[in-house]
Amino acid sequence: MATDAAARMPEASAFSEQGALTRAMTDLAGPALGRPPRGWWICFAVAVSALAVGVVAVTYQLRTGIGTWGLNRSVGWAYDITNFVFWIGVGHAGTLISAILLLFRQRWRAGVSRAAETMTIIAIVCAAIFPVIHLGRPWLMWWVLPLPNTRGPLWVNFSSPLTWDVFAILTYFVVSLLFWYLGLLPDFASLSHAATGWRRRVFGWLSLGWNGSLRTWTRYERTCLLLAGLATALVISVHSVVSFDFAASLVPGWHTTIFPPYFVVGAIFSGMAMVLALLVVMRRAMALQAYVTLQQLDALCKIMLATSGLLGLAYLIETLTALYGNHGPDRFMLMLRMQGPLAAYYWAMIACNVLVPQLLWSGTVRRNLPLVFAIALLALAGMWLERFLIIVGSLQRDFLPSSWVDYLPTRVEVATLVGSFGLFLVCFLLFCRWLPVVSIAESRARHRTRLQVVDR
Amino acid sequence: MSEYGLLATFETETALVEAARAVDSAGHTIVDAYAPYPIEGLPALAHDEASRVGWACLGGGVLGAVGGLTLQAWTSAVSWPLDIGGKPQLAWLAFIPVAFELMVLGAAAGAGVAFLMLSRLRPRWRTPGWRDTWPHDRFVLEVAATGVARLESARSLLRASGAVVVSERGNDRVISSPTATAQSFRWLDRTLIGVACAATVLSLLLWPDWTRRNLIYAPDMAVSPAVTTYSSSAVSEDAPTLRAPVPGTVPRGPLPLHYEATEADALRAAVELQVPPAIAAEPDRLRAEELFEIFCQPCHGSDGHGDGITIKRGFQPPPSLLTQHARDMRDGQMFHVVTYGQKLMPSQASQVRADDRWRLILHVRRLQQRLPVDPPPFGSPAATEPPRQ
Repeated sequence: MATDAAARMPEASAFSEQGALTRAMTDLAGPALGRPPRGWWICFAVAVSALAVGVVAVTYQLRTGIGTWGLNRSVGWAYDITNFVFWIGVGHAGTLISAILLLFRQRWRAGVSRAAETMTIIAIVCAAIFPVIHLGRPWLMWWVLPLPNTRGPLWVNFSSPLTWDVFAILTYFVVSLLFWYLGLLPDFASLSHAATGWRRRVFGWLSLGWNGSLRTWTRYERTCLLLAGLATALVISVHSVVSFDFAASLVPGWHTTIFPPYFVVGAIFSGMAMVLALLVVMRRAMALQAYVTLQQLDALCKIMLATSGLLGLAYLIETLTALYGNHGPDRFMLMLRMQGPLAAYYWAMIACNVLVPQLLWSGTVRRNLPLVFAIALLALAGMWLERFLIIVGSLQRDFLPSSWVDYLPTRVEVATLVGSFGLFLVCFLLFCRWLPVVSIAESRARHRTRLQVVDR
Repeated sequence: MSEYGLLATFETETALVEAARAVDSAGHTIVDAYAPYPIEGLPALAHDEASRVGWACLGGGVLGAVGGLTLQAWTSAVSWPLDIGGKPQLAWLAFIPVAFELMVLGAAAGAGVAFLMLSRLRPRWRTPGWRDTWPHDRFVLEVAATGVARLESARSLLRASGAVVVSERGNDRVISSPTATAQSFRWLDRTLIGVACAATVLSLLLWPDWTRRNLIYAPDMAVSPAVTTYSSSAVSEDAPTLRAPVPGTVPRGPLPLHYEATEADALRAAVELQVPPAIAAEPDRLRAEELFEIFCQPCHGSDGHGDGITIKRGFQPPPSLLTQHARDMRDGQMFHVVTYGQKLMPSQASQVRADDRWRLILHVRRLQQRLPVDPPPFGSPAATEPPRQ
């Protein structure tokens, strides 16, 4: 009987390959099966407090109404859409790492892909909060879907970029979730093996009966490649569609064809910054130096540097188009950004997104993790400022000088943003607590490759 | 499949691959292999159903794209065509993003569902035999053999290839019996299904009318309390929502005037009305000048000579504000003229506030002090009479 066979297994660490397999298991499955360290509890307490602030704020604004926001007759989109675009952008790095780098056979992505994919899914949820609240009556949210109804049936307007947004983001969420869950399947089986008690049963249920059959593995790899190809096209389309919300309008500073690539590059840049910030802390806190290596962080830094360069190019092209195009309102908007009431934001954005990341040209900087962490946080701040500048900057100076007004966020809006960060961190910490933050199966496969190289 | 199966456990991937080659060349059937990560180069497993995942992906994608285009075209142009700003109802270019997203969604769902179905993966509390084959730290080869002799030869071949354990597997693929604890979780499945069924049945029984909203859980904003101006409401059952003001109500701001637009009332106003002391004390000259430029200057001219831009375009000229007649006119009468109009001059009451009208009169007085007296207009009674002192 095979049960006896399992009992008669020799000591695993007797062989080098075996030892590595087991070690990957203990290192990566450990946090999911044990008790979290004190540092985790401190982080979790902070995150839950931030989330509580957000819950109070959201409850208040749902009971009272959107009048609690600082929006006015000209600036009808401000903090909420800024945060929405910001969070959706942050999510993009996960798909880039898991899909595009998989297609390019970048083995090093194994250490960072799980955390990045998780980040994507949580970021989409965080992003969705803002437009849903902005609806005013969130319980009618399903009206954005073309469902048969007793109102006519009245359908959604398929010519509206806002409707495209709904489809793009829902598709993005579903495909990201599918990709993430498929990646977790073998790990759930491993966890179920290593765990005892109720965890064993729950992880077993989640593993869908994964048994490591090579026939399944072959199909699995094919499925992952197909999904990666789809997700690559998807990730480009999602932020392009988000940018159509602006580009398809006539507002100066929005109505420009550079927006889709500009938004996608910015999204990847901010996403890389978020991944780096999370990983630098996570690998230290969870002792994952052997799995999330300096080389991997180095590669992420280089992607961030490249996207920063592309972003700088986009800023330059935007400026050139406004100057060369000789279109009054466009030029006015450019001058307004550089010299108007939000000029400080503009130059801070240039510094955070284009100038500071140039430090990453230096290998010394890329290996200095506290510095990388700081650069990543600045990049996140810079990308947030960029969206704020695009949205509020353009709306508060319309074609009609009579509708020029200024916008200031209210405390309720700031609290909602704090709450979204709280939600993000709570979900991410729970992920660190309950699931292997680095793919066990991929780490083993990677280790196998390294052994083979050594053998030769 | 076969009557007998052998499960051979290996320590390393290389050992597994070599054993598989040996077994394959000896003519045995490799059923499957189990590994913690995908392994390439196993013989006899080259043929697989991976391509079926690809076909499912393609099918889902085509279904999504065609379905997306159909949905958009049908809802926009057939089911309820709406004219939105005169834009075409069949806007194929505008349909591309949604059709693309639905294509991706369909393709991903197709690939995912095909993968799960082909691999027979589904959530279950009790998984037959998988704990023995799922090797989280070892490699297992499953070999099929028909007949005892073949079985024994395969067994010895596997042993020779370096298998640490070789065990038999039954044809039913259930090696370990389900544990009692795992089975005890079945009640959860049953409870959940039972609750779902009960909820469905209850909803059908209790709320059979699908055309109406039956459960309102946040009534405050879902049913708006807005009422129309002339309908009765909860607070005004007997009369329209818009109530008449209480008799004797006075509007905020300046007190209402009780004059008619007649010459007699103008003379009455001359006696009764005076510049309010507050405005006389603080006339706000700049504002008065600005208002004069906006409201008076087009006809009366900047200096009040009655030569504004409208006059140059052919409008009947008003008498100069600098004539002796105008200088003698009482403030109250002038206020009446500005408020109710006179001859060709229309009323300014709707565009100039009462206090501003007083400021304008003070401005006219300043002009009259600063500038010399104009002769009376030609043909007027004043022109033939000597000016009154």
